[in-house]
Amino acid sequence: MNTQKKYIKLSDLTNWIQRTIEEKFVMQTFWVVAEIASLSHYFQKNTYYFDLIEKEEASGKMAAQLKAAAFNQAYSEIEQFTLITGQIFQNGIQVLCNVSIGFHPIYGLRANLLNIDSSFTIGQLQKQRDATLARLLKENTDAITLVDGRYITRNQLQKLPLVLQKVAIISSQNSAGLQDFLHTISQNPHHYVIETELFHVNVQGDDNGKQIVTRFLEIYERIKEFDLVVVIRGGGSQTDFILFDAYPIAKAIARFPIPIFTGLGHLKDVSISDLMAHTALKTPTKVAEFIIEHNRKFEEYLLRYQSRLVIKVQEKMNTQLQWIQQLQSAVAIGAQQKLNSSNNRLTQLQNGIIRLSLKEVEDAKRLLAVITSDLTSKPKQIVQQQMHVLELMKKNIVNDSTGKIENKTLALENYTTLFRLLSPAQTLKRGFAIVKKDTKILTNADNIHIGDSITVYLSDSQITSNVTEKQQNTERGFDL
Amino acid sequence: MSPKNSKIPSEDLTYEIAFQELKDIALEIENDSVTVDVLADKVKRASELIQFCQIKLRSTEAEISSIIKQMESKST
Repeated sequence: MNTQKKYIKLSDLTNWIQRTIEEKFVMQTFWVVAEIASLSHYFQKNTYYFDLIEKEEASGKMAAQLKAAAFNQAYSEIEQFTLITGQIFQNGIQVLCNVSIGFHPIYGLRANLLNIDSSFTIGQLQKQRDATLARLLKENTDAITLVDGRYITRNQLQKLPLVLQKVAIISSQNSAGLQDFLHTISQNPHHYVIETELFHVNVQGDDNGKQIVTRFLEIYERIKEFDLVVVIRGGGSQTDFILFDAYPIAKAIARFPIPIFTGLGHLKDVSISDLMAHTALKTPTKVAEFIIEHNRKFEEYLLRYQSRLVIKVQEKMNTQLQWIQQLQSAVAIGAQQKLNSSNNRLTQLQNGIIRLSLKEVEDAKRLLAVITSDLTSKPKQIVQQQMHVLELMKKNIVNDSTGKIENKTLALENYTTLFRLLSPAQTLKRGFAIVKKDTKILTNADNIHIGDSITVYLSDSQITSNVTEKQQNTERGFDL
Repeated sequence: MSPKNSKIPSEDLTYEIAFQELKDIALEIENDSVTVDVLADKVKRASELIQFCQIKLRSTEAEISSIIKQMESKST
């Protein structure tokens, strides 16, 4: 049977479809929320091919699927989108995109991506982020708390060692950020030695951070060998930044027992890992600088202590020196004073002795004067007294012996009469003469020679005569 | 002098220990609780500690152990 069926060429059909669709959809664009899947990226052609898909929320079964592509202008829009959101354009992400619908005779029905809404994705990411943070708080109450809007993690409470010298690095081996970090460390102006060990991760991988968590576990096994873990990323691509919002990494960081520094190279945003880490810095270079500066601070402490010690020791030595000088001068002054006071006392004693001696002399003189006057006055007194006594005696004698004296006077008168009678004058008057030769009274004539001159004294005259004759007296009438 | 103070920096000496000892010495000297007789020893020890830290800041672990070996062989 040769049944002639009416047919058209396939191209006629596809052209017809194309015309029909274009008639229906021409000049129309649609904002669609969909997930990206089966993405192919043609760098040279500035083109993405992918599927827009929708899954049933409950079962996860595919509900809709549409082929899609982004060329030229749209390609630039996607790049811009990645820059703004930090979200790499990749499988699994929910996007809000503006599409037109077209049909290609070869490639079939396809959505042409015209634009992609960044704020929707940012919102999505924020929601995800909020969910992650909430989960971190909920599932790690022993290691993470929220205080005044700030996350406090166990890692942040780790005390930084005085010096950071043994550093474990989690980074991609060929990351520009790692090179920056190592360069800054090795070229530090203070020549500090910082030993680093790289724990390589391929951060481009889409494994929700499993690799990074594995590296953390490896470091944990050798925890005593390190002062610090540094997580760095960066240079160029901004796309894997979102990885550091992943729950497993954030959790590992929050709970890690030695301090973790992040330098994820994102200037605008802060990842959840940054929030959990001990210290979050913007770039790997800044992390390196921070480490050097930390060590420098320690050395400055040392030098400050050194100069404090030097100053203090100098002060102390000066004080000692001053003491010694003070003691020295005190001894000198004391000795001088002692000497002076001894001298003064000596002088005083001297003066005292002189004064006392003078007084002694004065006293002696005075005593002498007293004695002298006594000596001069006493004899007079004695004499006077004696005279007085004599006077008394005389009176007594006179008074007591008047009669005796009168008797005596009588006797005396008798004697006086007698003696008067016997006196030469009376004798002469009675006719006797005194013969003297040469003024000597002669009682005999032995020395008288003839021719001698003799003087004869009579009562009223004297006769000088020469001896002419000498004869023995024969007359006896004279003898009574 | 306590044995701790007469000890030469050894492998046991960390920045923390060295710095604490340095602070203690500084405090002692600033509080005037150090007599002039032991002042020289204290200052010598402080200077050793500072030098130890400064050397350690600029040396790898291996260099440090070789330095310590040298110091110990000199001192014995």
